[in-house]
Parts: sequence; C-alpha cells; structure tokens
Amino acid sequence: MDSRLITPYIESTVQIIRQMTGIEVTELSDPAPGSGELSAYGVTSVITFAGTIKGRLIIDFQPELALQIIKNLMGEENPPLRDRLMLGCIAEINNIIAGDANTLLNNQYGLGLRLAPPMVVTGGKMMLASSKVESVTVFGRTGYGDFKLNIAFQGGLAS
Amino acid sequence: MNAKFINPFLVAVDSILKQFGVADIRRGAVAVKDEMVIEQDVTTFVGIVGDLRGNVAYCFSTETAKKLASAMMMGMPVPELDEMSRSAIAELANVITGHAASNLAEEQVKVDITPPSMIVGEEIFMVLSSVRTLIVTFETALGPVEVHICLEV
Repeated sequence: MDSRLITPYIESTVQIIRQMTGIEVTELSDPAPGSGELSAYGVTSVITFAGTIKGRLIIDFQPELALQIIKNLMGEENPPLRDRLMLGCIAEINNIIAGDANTLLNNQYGLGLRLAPPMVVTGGKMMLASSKVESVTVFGRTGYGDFKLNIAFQGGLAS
Repeated sequence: MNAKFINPFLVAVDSILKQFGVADIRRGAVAVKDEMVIEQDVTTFVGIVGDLRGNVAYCFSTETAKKLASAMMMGMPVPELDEMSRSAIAELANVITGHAASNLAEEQVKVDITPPSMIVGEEIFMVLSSVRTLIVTFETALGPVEVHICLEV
C-alpha cells in the first residue's frame, strides 16, 4: 500500500500518545501487509472515514496499556475498563489521531476525508473483519504494553 | 431524531433482506438507549458522513449470522463463521447502508458511507457513539436482526 497514506497515521499515533498521556512508544515495527482481518489484543478502537477514497484506522491496545492511558488522561487511580466514559477516552484518542492525520492528507492531496464517530470495544477473543479493503499492520511497544495499528484503504492516491 | 432520517434505513433493511430471500420479515420492538451496549455475538457497522454523521450497526447471533451469510452466498452451506462468511456479513452491512444512503439522497440528504467493519468475540462491551441510539429489532425467519442507528443531527 502507498506509504504516503500510511506514514501520517503512524506519526500521529506516536505524537498524540506522547502529548496526551506522556507515554513513549519505544519500538515500532515496519508496516506489514495483512488481509482485512485482525485479531485483537483486548481494547480496540475503530474509526472510519470517507472522502474521495475511503478508509479505516484501528488502534488496538493491550488492556494494561489502555488502562495506563486512561489513568494518565483521567487521573483515576483504578479505572474500570467496562465503563462508558473510560472506554470513551480510548475512542477519543483514536479520533484525535485520525483527525490529525486526515487533516494532513486532506491538505496535501485534497482527499476531503471526513471522520465518522469513533467506536470502541473490549472483550475476549475478538476478531475484526472488513470487506474489500487493503490493510497494513504496525506493531508498537511502550513501557506499559503493546499496541497495534491497522490502517486500511479502499482506493489510493493518484500517482 | 427525525423519522425522515430513520425511515430510509428501516426501508433499506427490509428490502435488502428480502432481496437475499429472507422470509417473514417483521419490524419488531423499538427502543431508545442513551448508550450503545451490544449483547449479541456478531456486530457489523458502517459509518456515515456528510449531511448526517453517525454509525449504523447490525447485530445478530452467530447462528443468524451463519444463515445470513449462507443466504448471501446463494445458499452455500456455512458451518463455521470463517473468513469468507465474515466478509459476506460485512458486505451485507455495506449493501444495506448503501441502499439507505441512496434512499436518503431522494430526500435531498447527501451522505457517504465508510467501509464496513465486523466484530466477533466474547463478552463484548462496546461503545459505539456518545449520542442517543435508536434500536429496531427485525424478526426474520433466520432469527432477529438488531439495527442500531445513532445519528448526530
């Protein structure tokens, strides 16, 4: 997949997580192409967008990392995970990351991408599937746990 | 929420399920919830951007999902919800919502839909939107299909 479409999301993720929660991403893998499917770590946020092309960003956190993010953001000592407000935090982070990256892409390539509201889900043995998309996965590591980014697009940039 | 925006979705569910040969479609219970908590095994959803902004989710049990996938694939048996049938179910959401978008266009409401996503898992707790959600359950011969509509209007 076109790296011009992927890089903004990866950079925004690292930057926004650092800015908002003070958590540093210590390791980041190269983007690996995948099918439309993803087996999730446990706390997963999905945001989709449409413009001249359509796409989707999934950020999937290990529960420990998600809890640390919520803790840092909300100042709660022992945040419950299955709570609307706490999970909403994770969705909001995804919203900000995708918004940031999309603004960059829109300005640069005039894609006119608009975000649909983010959703977030937690549970066991989760599997996310999509149809007709091409996706890449990037694995990331922090001192509190791992996360995965999955970036998918239908269509691409004109060369 | 305005019925003008909701009806196109309900009409689309009805007509697309009929096209796939699903029998006995009845519009059942309607509920409004402040948050979207999903208790079904399989959820597939599509985002909406444009004049309206929101998400629409379609939820069913694993059994119903298998039967729906089979109906979509010309009656091919679906013993397991594998990659192929998962993609079929995601596509179902895409087709229904796409149809709803063209119904809305007839009402001069311009919307675009985003790629469908499907989630399966255990003990799922999901927050789909921070706005009010309208839930309409369709009873069909293949089992109930819950349609969750949340629009920021």
